[in-house]
Amino acid sequence: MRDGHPREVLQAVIHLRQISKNYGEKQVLRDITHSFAAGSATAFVGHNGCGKSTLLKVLAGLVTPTRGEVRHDRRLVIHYVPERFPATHLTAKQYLTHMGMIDGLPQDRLSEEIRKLAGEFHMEEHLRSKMTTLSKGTLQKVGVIQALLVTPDVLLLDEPLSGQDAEAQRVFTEKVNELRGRGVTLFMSCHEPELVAAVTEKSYTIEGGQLLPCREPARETYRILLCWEGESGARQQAQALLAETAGGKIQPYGNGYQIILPREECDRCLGMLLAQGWRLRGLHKV
Amino acid sequence: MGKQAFGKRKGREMKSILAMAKYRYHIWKQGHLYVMPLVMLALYGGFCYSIRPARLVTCVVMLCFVLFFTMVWMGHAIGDREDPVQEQLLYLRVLRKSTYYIGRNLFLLAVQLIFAALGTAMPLLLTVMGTGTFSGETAPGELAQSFFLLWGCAGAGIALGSLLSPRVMRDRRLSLLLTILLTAMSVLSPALKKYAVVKWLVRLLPPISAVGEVYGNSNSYVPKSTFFLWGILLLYSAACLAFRDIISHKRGFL
Repeated sequence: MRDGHPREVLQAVIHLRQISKNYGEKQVLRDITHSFAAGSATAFVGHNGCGKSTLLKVLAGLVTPTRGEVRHDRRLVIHYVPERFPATHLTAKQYLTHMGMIDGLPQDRLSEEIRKLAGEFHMEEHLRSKMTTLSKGTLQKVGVIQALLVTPDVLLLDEPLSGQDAEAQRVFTEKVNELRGRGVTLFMSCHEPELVAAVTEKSYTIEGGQLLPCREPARETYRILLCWEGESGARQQAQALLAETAGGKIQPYGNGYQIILPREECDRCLGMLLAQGWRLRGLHKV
Repeated sequence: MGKQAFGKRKGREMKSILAMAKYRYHIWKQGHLYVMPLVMLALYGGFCYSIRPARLVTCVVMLCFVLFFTMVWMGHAIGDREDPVQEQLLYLRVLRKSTYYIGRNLFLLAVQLIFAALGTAMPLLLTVMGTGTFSGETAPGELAQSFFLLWGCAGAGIALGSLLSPRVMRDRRLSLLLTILLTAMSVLSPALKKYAVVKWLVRLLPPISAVGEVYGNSNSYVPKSTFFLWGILLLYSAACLAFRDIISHKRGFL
């Protein structure tokens, strides 16, 4: 719910009509017509340079399309997490304080919010460091935090997990889903299928400048990471069973192995492997 | 919308504008862009006020040109150093896009006022310290008029520099070339008016040379003339900044 409007009432908030965008001779977007509902969560996926970031910027009104019209049904507060967050000469705390004040947060609440978010992203010790001295990942965290200080109408995420550690990714996913629960409209460009599945409802790809719904994979598969913690004498036999389970497709991965299984086989095979002494170290949708 | 709600919204917008100007000021301060103009002011002060007795009006008129040049550089440098991604973040986070532009212009106004005040502080200090630098009395009214003249020239300079910065011009080399050319032409405009080829262009330049034309050989200020000059310089500055904002808004961020 946001301002008393249930999410089921999904009125369109951003409309694209015959949008085309050229950069010189290169046509990046071609005749895109689409409306995005308020409170929706949309991902744009595709290869590098296909136009995902351009489309995000067109949606936000940052980039003027070569042809066509972008219409926002009302004035929107948009927060943006860019792919590469630029450093300033300020410390992280000074920068976030300024952004919070521009957002209209009162000083006492702002300090508390910065402290809380910095704690959740494990960067409290970097708050007083100049942004120019921060690592890429820490700087990106500042970029994420500035977007989460207040609840915007629209959240734009351009490759938001770039350079982020696993814990930061987990916190980020939680925060974004929290915002979705408050009715924030979300647009994201990214490559990670797990993130797309975790935070968005619909995904689109950009091919030949056109916006196309992503095709559901014919068969859902999972990448499973396992390592052996049984008796060393039984390892060879266990490896043979693993290879048989995976249809011969077993790959070394760190100090364990990686197999690919279709969704319908996962429960049965995993149960069997775990009972034998294999230990699960990762499970990812492919 | 009720009056109360309207007032609240306006109050919030004003706070955002001030917060945005404060942020830009902090960035500017940390970036040390103020160093070169400060050095120029100090050098000029050291040169002009060491020749005694000095005439306040003459010194201030020359300082107007010095300040104009340095503020053109300042406006250009501020625009050049604006990070496009940071600008996008600021632009998107405000409800009314005019907030973004007003915040930007408010910061430039602050910079103009700072340097106009510094330019006025030099003769003020010399007068207060009783150094006998100036021939005749230096009345508060004369110092006040000096401030307004310096403000007008600083404003025209920073506006021109900002309009010609790479943020608007896109081509960095052209931006730099035009900045140098138009700045020089602004000062030489009385001589250039004779040539039909550039007459139309001269009309579009800041009326900085008017300061020299009015007070070049004068020993004292005439308030009516001072405020007229201040008015036209500020009007020019406002027009420049408005034009820059319109172009920036239409162009977007690439």
